[in-house]
Amino acid sequence: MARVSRKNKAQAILEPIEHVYNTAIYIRLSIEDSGTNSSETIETQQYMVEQFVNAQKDMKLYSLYQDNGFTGTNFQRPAFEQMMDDVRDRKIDCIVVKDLSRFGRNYIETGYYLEKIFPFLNVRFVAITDNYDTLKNSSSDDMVASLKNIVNSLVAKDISHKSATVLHQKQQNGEYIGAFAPYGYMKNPDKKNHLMIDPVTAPIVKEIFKWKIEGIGYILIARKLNEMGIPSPSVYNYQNSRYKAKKIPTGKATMWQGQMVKQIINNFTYTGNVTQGKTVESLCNGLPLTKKDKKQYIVVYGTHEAIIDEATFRRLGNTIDEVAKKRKANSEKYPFTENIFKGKVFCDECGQKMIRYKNAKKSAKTRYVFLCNQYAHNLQLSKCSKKCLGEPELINAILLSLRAQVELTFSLEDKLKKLKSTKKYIAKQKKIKTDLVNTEKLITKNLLLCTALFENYTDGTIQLVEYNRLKSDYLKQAEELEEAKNRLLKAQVLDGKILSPQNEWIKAFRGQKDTTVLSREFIELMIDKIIVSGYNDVEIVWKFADELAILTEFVGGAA
Amino acid sequence: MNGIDFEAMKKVDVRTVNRSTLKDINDVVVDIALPKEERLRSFIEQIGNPYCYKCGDLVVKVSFAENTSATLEDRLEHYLSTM
Repeated sequence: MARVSRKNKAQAILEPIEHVYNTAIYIRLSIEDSGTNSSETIETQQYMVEQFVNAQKDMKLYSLYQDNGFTGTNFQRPAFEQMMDDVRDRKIDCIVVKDLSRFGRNYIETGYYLEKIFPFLNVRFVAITDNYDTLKNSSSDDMVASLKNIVNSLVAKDISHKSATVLHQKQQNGEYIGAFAPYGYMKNPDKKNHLMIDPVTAPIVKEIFKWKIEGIGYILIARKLNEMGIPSPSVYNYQNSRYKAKKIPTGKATMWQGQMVKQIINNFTYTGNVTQGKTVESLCNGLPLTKKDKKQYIVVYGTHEAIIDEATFRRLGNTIDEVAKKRKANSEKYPFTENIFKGKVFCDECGQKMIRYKNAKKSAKTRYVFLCNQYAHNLQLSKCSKKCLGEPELINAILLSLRAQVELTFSLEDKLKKLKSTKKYIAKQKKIKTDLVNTEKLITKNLLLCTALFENYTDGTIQLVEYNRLKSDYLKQAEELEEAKNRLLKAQVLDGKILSPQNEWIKAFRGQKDTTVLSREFIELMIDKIIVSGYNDVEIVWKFADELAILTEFVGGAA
Repeated sequence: MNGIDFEAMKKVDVRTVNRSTLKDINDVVVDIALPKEERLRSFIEQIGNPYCYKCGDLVVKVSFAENTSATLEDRLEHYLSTM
């Protein structure tokens, strides 16, 4: 048997000491400003890492990235994402953390960063208390780091398992485990899992139900509450110091929104029966946050005083369901398209994300528009002006602007030629070709074997049972090979098409008004944000540098 | 093209600009057969302010990233090569 080659084993390449690393410090705490124990506060974490970085001759602090109040079980953390953006922009080439668990508690993803992404991007990674430094590590250190990652991950899963069991038991017992009591209730100071009527807000909840029964919509109810000057649930909780972290409510939370009213109207807890388990998320079972069906909610009856009687609640629920069904049927008549601008369109006045709204009027053609949520809810009260940006118009403006810039600065045809001649592209094409040849060979071989098998059977070398078994094996193989061949052929065609003028996306640039070509990935790569400042005024902030100014300066100077 | 203040053009406020002075990008034609300098010259002549113009009924302002040296070409290349 052939021996595995040891020739190409990876060897650690030592960077010359003269290189000074642009260093990022990353600190993270799961629960905002938690850690009464001095070794665990975010300040000590920061101090410790800063001391370390300052003491290193080959490190220069570039920036500090801090996620206060984010779990390590995933990587969806704002400062972390910012840091990775800066890594990709080559602003930093070294990351320092206190220990590996600060970086992440998901061993699969953490390992992926440490073993694949960072080596690829040439980033040095240091975990101080774990004595881990990719610059100085031997392979045994790598193994220890992997084990530590697994342990860190298991710690999180263990806690998840333990707390989930207890919390589930509490839910079954009818104990309220939410962080805050539903609006209209407060937590019993003597028995914190028990709800009691909040004399200030309970009458408001009653009023909300009354309005809904009269047929007023969620948004109109929210507007009414705002006009009456009633503080939103978040503001009320804040005013009554119910938040442990002294976070002042911002943005949407400062005013009543239709969604908040909807939540109240749909919350069965107001009938005096604790209703929990509406969503479930389990790290230990690898279950992401999932909505449960209404029938699967954990309801315990008669746990506290009702604000609305059960019969009225159910009657109201049925009417709402009917209306919703009708609306859904109506709305499904019109096609749904993905929101490729998700998280990118902002209102200039309130600074909040604008909502994408399906304008499905019977008379007019269906189209999506972006609206200011604040204005829609509160009209004049919102201090925002009326805005309505049509999605087709926005797409058109983006394509036209991009096209002008492309036409001014470079030739798409040249670009395609260049991309087609890149090593990566050629290698890919070549691989598909050789794979195809190999598959063809295997198909021929399979056919020959099949023929030989039949001969073996006819001359009596093998029995019928054996013949049938082997034949079905060969046939199955032949089928699989045929499939593989088709896949490769498809890939070959597709690959050729992507980098040709037939590419739909490039056609759009060539002036054909096909607006379906922009994708979410494309927008994410190209556009930082879109700010809508008036009814028809829009600012597009690109994610790339201004070449126009540089070029015009050059041209201007030459003229 | 001398004497044109690009900094001032960049600072135009989309909310207060006089819409009637703006040109529409739909009317702009770039002849890609021309050399780069000529193309630019002609573009600026047609669009007036390349940072603020009309696109149909929309008033469009364009801004660019300040802290990156990546160009549209770079981004496009990345996109096309990952497609």
